Amino acid sequence: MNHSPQFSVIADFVDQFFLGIPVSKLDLSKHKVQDVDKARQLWDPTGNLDVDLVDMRSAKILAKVNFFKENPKHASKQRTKWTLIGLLIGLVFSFLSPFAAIIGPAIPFGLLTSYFKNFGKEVVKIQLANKNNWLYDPTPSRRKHHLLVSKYPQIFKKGNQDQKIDDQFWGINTVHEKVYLFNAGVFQYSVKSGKNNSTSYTTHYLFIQLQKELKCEFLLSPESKSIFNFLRSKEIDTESEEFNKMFEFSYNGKKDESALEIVKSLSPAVQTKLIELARKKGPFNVLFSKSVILFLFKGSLLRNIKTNMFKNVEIDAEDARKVEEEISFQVDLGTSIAKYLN
Amino acid sequence: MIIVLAVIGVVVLAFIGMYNSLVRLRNNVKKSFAGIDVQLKRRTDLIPNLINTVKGYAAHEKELLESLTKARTSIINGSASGNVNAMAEGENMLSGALKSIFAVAENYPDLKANQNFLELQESLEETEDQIAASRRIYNENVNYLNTKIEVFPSNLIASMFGFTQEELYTVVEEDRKNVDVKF
Repeated sequence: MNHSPQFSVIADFVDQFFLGIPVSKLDLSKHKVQDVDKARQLWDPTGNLDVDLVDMRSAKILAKVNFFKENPKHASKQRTKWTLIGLLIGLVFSFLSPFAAIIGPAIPFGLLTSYFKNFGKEVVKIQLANKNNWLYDPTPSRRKHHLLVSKYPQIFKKGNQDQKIDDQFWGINTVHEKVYLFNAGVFQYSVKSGKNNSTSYTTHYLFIQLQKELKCEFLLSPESKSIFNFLRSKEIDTESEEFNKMFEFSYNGKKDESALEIVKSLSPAVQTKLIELARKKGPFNVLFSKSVILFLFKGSLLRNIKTNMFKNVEIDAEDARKVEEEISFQVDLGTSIAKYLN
Repeated sequence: MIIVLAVIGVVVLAFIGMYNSLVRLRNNVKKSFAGIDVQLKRRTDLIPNLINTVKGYAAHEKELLESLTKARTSIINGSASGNVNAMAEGENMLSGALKSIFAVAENYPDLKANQNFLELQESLEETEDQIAASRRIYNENVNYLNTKIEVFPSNLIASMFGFTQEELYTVVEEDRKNVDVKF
């Protein structure tokens, strides 16, 4: 699968030029997934997953961690170097504006600090993936978004620029001795309105492969809030008042046949699990399509990561716990829903 | 004049809204109660099969098998009466009897390995989950309805049209504990 190579090329350039990391000399073989055969059993909803390529990208990040561990002062040296260069450039241009002397060093300082913050996030996620025998891709992909739009437009046909898929996990989760394959990731997009106005959105998704094909395709989305809701009757209602307040349905096909299949799929256990998920994660969309359930949640997958690769080339224990809890919670709950659909 | 008409319009709309919401809530309570009934029936339908399978390996566990039959009868009677308490009582009995059966099965390796028994166990566990979920949905619906019947101003409409509070479906805490099986 072609994973938008431009992202990798830019990342390598930044690593080599700004951070002074000898990218071509990093030993990636030490950091490859241990059980590649097992990783090959992983599933991607688009049917395209190049385990070796994805693994190589994670290995590259772990090799960089190794490099920083072996050279503990390298990161701060680089930041100091670029801050001084920025200061010099700023001083040279200070005749244009006195602010140049401040902005000059602030830009490289800020960029490098942000780089290391993101780097820390990537490492937390890779370690989580390794711990659970999952696969993690740190490189954003526009192509994956194109593929997902063609298969699941109800969820991924959003925005009019900068759509990309990032932070992807592939893995296996077992619920009551049944094995479920999943793929999770972050979907980002922007909506351009007018000449210079653009709003960016971040969402995260979770695909779970079912062991049987559903007879009906339908989408549950958050119930629209309107003061006139009490006057309209919903097309499809389940027996749960709370569920009906949270979700509304959309589907293709004839109402009678679809309603029957939808209600059959949404057994009481599935409804209560979806309510539980909505209470924890806030309003979300969920698509039931063929042999797949697809959840789309608002916001990014991870927030407030404390790991700071400048101070310490180690993952913050609290970060590791939070990331694991967040991802495991949605994977566990998602797969437990799948259990009642099989 | 326009203001008076607007106020009357708002009052009428609010009245319709509250009445419709009470009707919807009452229907949801009925629907969710029927949901519990369906799941309980599904579970009782599995019992004769379970008894036959267990009999083949542990025929002398008569007392246990009888308690299972009794619990099944109790739940069928409770369901036929449509009474929430009678159904809950039958469900409690059946849950206790099933826990005992599965605990006893640990002592019969052949029974534990029997494919039919394993499938029945899985089906019963899934039905158990569905019953628990149905019960939760029913109780939430009852809470919504009872609150609506109590709070102002919907209590006026509720009393005007004879909406009454419904009973919660409660499972006795004692029956949730693990069953201690003695030999």
